[in-house]
Amino acid sequence: MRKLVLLAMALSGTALAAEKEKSLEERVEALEFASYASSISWSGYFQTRYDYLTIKQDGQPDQHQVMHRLLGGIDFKANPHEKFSVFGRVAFGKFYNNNPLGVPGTSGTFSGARRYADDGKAYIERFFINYTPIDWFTFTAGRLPTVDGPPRHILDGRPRLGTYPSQVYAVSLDGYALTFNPKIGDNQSLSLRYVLSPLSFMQVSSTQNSVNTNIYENIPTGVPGKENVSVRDLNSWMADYSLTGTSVARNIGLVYQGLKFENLGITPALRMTVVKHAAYIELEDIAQIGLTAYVSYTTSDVKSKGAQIVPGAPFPISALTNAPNGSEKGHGVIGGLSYKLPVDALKTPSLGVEYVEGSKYYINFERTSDEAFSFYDVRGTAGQVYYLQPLLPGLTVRVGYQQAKPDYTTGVLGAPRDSKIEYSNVYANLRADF
Amino acid sequence: MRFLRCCVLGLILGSSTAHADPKEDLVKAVVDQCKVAPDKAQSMATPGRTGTIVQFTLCVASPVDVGDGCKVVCKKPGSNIGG
Repeated sequence: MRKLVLLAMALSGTALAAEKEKSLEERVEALEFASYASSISWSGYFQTRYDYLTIKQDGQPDQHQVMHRLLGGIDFKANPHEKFSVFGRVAFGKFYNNNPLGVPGTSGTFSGARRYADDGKAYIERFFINYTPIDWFTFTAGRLPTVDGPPRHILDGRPRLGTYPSQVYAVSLDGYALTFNPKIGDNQSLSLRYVLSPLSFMQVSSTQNSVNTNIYENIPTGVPGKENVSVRDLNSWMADYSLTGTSVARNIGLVYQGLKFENLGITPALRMTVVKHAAYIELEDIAQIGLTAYVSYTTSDVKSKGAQIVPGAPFPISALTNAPNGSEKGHGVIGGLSYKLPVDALKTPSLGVEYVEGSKYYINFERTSDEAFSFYDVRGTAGQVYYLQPLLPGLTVRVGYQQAKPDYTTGVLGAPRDSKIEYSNVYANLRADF
Repeated sequence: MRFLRCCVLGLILGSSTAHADPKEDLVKAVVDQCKVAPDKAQSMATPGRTGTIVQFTLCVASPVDVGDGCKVVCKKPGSNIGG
């Protein structure tokens, strides 16, 4: 009898253990399912910035401009399959409670709130797919990560945040890309990339639900007697190399990029062809002493056809010239150093300096700059010093002082004019990456 | 228990871990960049919300300090055309 009881107890114990095991399996299955069902992961950033800008001009009292700005984005990422992934970012930027008095058609944000009349507008800054059918080749399509490229990440101590060097074309470009990643070593990577950003000339009629396509070839320049032009899409080609874990630097990055588009319309009567070449080198954590150095060098070659007639102006203007048709070349440089102070008690803050230079006819399509004035597209010289203080993992504050002495005015239309303005700016930038 | 931890980590990282193995990626980076033995690199890959695996995968800051003087450079997801 006693044996029978012991046997029954043993059997019931086994059954209980089996029940426990089953319960564990079910719980694991539930966790696994939740993981698969949640097909998107989220991250993002928040940035708020204060600027106190001073503008000096000969013979005039100093002007001061205070800015409070907000910038942010929600990133999402999905890997439905190991061979393809999807990325996106919904971004926005704004001035705090802007009240643009005297600007027709604007009411400012004092009357701003979510409204049905806004028609659900949001800005999609990135939305693209990477499809990798074989290890060394990836096809990419969509709205590409062309903004926030190097060296902009260094100032905030971040990893690289965009593909195109920021001096090339810092605009959210849509396109198709072919990336070749030949295997060259365990601590090296090389990407050879071709990007096509096709242009569209669609006029959509919302009332008739129809489209009209402008002709792509032989577009009239709009100037009597001038030849017609043919438009060519934006083309870009890149070589992107990285070497990590050497005694020279923790990471050595080299980027070359070329970009070209032809006869893009600035106005109906004026078309512009642009060729840019950029070289970027970055030495991160040189000799492991916390020093990072970078240089970006870009050339721009601008040719224009046609002219813009400005009412009241004594001459027609074109891209960078005061005449119909023109051709001008320029160059720009960004160079900088960032040093991580070895003070663990302060979470290793960074000190940095940056120098910027642009020639008379240099153009830089820097649409996403955070600066309070033309800093990275200056035609002259500019510089800044800054201090970056980590507060918590993912949370930093950067304070800085900038100065710029443009020799010429910025802009694309018309010849650059001599500039007598000097800028100085003090800023504080709080950034959270999450 | 270890499997459960992995599952929880998977939940934290979402579907990005559904097929890729973030721990293997980190171990490989540690081996390649810091010339550390694979066994040692395994022990430097720590789980949890503030662990090195999450830090390396999300790449909020670069390089990621994984301890013992080893810092690895990471890539921010979604910042590169073609991965």
